[in-house]
Amino acid sequence: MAHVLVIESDRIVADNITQMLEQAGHRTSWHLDPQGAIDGADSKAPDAIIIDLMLAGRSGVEFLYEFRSYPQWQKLPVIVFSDVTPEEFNGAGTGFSQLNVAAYHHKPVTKLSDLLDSVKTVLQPAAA
Amino acid sequence: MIKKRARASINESEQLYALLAALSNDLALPLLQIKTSLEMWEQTGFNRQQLLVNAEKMNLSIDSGLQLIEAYRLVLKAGEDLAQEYEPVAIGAVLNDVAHQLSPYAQKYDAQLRVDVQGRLTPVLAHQPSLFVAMQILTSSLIRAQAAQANPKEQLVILGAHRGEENLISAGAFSNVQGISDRALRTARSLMGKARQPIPNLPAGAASGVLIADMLCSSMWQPLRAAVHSGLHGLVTVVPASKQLQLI
Repeated sequence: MAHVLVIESDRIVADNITQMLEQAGHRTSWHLDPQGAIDGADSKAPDAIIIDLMLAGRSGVEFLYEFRSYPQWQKLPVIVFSDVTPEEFNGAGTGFSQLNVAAYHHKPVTKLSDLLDSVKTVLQPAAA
Repeated sequence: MIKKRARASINESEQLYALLAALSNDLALPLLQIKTSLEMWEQTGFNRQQLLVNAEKMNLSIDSGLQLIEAYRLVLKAGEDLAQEYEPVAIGAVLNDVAHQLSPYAQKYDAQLRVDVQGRLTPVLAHQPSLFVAMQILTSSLIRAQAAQANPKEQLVILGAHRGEENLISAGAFSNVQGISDRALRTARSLMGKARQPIPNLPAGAASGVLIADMLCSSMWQPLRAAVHSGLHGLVTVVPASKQLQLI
């Protein structure tokens, strides 16, 4: 059982993601905003993060830059679940390799089960 | 003359493109809510109570999507001459109707929704459906925006109206989280259709609602502007009192 930190600005979507993860046996905590998520990551020591990129106040990309700047969070698996396409994400000069994104899901074409599969995949090396 | 007309036509096309882009950004959210709710429904054995809760969630998302489409339709219509359809409108009644309709939506987002209208307010001259939809879409956007920023237990949204100078009446929505300045609104107008998140303070799916409300208000009298009401920051439009009724 892993602890997954979900950073998603919409309550209904976040409800559905966390319910799906909990039914698969994971523990979850949900944060609306990046600052709360930084504090949450400190106190709850998650095994993986699912993050949207378009959040209020501060973007998910800014959060990732800050998050990756802390040595203890540099290897934590991050899964992006966003309306922003992977091409836009890469085109903005960010990119998977730079921010060490383990999986990228474009919201309109992703099923919650795909998200769950990604969580399983990114957690495998840690479990092994 | 021909050049002027061509430029006006280009501006109109650009504005319609921007509007469509804004609408598509906002419509993606309710559709995603329905999609993920349906997937939960399919994959898990919900009991009757859970089914009802899930159905209620989807119903709210559908309402939200339909409100957006209605707002879009009205903005398109605003290109025509709306002035002919102006009528005396009781602003208090409009704001109460909006609050009544958005009450389940506010509850879902743990927001407290109140109406605060100055007493004995003269009816205003407006296109009633446009005013109603502008206030509705502005308020629902603020509720969503607020839910993404504040502690859910502290949320308060007020639909307010009061008389200002020269018999003009301000009507709008206010909330107890970070307000949107006139400068941010101007920047957002110029970014509409070009940026995914034209108002950085607001989460995805909320900014375009504000901009659509702005276009609706603008097509009637004045665009939205920042204002304060009962110590809360918000956005208002200014509408003239109906002189027709003052004569009675």
